[in-house]
Amino acid sequence: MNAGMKKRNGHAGTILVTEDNPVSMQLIQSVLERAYYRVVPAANAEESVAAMEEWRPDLVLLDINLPDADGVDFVSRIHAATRDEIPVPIVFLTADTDRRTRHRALAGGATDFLTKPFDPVELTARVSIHVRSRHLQQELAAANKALERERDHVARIQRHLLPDSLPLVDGVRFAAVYVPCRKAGGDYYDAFLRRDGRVLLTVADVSGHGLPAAIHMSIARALVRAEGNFSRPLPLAFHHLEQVLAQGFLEGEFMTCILGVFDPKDGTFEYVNAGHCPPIVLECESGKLSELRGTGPLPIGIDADSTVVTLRERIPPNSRLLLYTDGLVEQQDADGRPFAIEGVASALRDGAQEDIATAAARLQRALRKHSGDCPMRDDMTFLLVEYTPAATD
Amino acid sequence: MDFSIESKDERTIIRVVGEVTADNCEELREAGKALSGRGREVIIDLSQVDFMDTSGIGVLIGLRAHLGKHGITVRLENPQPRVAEVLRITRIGILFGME
Repeated sequence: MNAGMKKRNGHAGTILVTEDNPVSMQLIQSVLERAYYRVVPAANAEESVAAMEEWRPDLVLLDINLPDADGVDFVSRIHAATRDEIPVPIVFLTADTDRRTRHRALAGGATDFLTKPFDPVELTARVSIHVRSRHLQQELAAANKALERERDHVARIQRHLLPDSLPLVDGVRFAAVYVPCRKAGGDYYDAFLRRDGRVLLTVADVSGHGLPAAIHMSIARALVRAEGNFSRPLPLAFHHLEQVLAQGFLEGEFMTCILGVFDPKDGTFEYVNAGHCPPIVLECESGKLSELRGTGPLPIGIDADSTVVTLRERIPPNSRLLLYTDGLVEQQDADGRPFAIEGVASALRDGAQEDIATAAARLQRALRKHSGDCPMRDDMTFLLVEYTPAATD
Repeated sequence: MDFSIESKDERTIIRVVGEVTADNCEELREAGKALSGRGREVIIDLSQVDFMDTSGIGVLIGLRAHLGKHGITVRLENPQPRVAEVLRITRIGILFGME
């Protein structure tokens, strides 16, 4: 009846039989071996524990009345001895037909129950069900581990793609925070010096999250980096980014972004806002805070023919410019209230007199405090830029 | 998230309830796509949607594109303030005649 049983290492599985009655043991062994199982016999609890460690069985058949231990109490010792992620199935054998004994055994972690005298066909059938289920669970766990390793790998690559240092430019300082809600994500930021002496600043958010978003993010990063060498006018740079990136998007996928160039000479920030959260400017002295609310094209991936609109703002000296993804303002607290622009504004103002790294850490801390135990639902990224030009008088 | 679909004459209304996120929006996408060839207009009633992430918005965009090929226009109705804000900031509301 076990002809269909999957065999590993030349047998259908290893069964540890713990039974003190030699006649019973003999019978069980012959029934199981006929069904291609490898049987490891143990006459008592001590032998059984030793065999557990040595043989790593696929199933334990256990007489509930052992000479040196109570079978039900013994279950926890077996699980401790294997320390398996997937607990080994334990099937009790007993002549005791009392229902309470069965209840106690099942509550104590037994998988199944067979009453002596047992029917050989039923014995092999039950054993085969549990062994097969365990093998499937093991395969699933292995597949999951492999997937997780890949995910970790993608996450490492992605971290590696973020700038490991922000540019050194007179009068401009940077701080950035990137926190994906899963291992990898679709958020992305970058800041680097272009050939023309202006600083490219970008924060982008690919729809969705996880691995699919991470793939698009990597492409976007490569395209934006390449622009650094060209130093092309911003509309052209954006157009190119949109054309190439959109080719890889499936229906319904899109990317919002701020793609901008900041001129440290006069504080001009020229940027494209493609459906992204408006940047925030904080004047450190007065605490005055404003959102750069000008509108630009639709997000990338929706309409490749949309007109590129660039916007231009003068960032006043001694100000901070915040580019961020919606994960920052949308993060909820336990009552479902978002951190919102108000939460950002108050943390930014509180940190106005601190150095930029401390101010960025303060903003992140405020967000964490707001969300408390609420899980992150989206990737969160922000890039904080401080403009403090040397006095020109 | 839950949704119900009701068709009458040339118009179908999808009433969505709850949060539309990456983890649950696939079903909505499939159900919406299945409406191609049915009527001239699909109205997605968002009055009971309290949160929608970018994957959820992606579903709306995908449906608009897919159903548009079959001559069906997609309109969004009654978004709550938070969802309306997302549709405004991303400018995606424009696609559904919201601005």
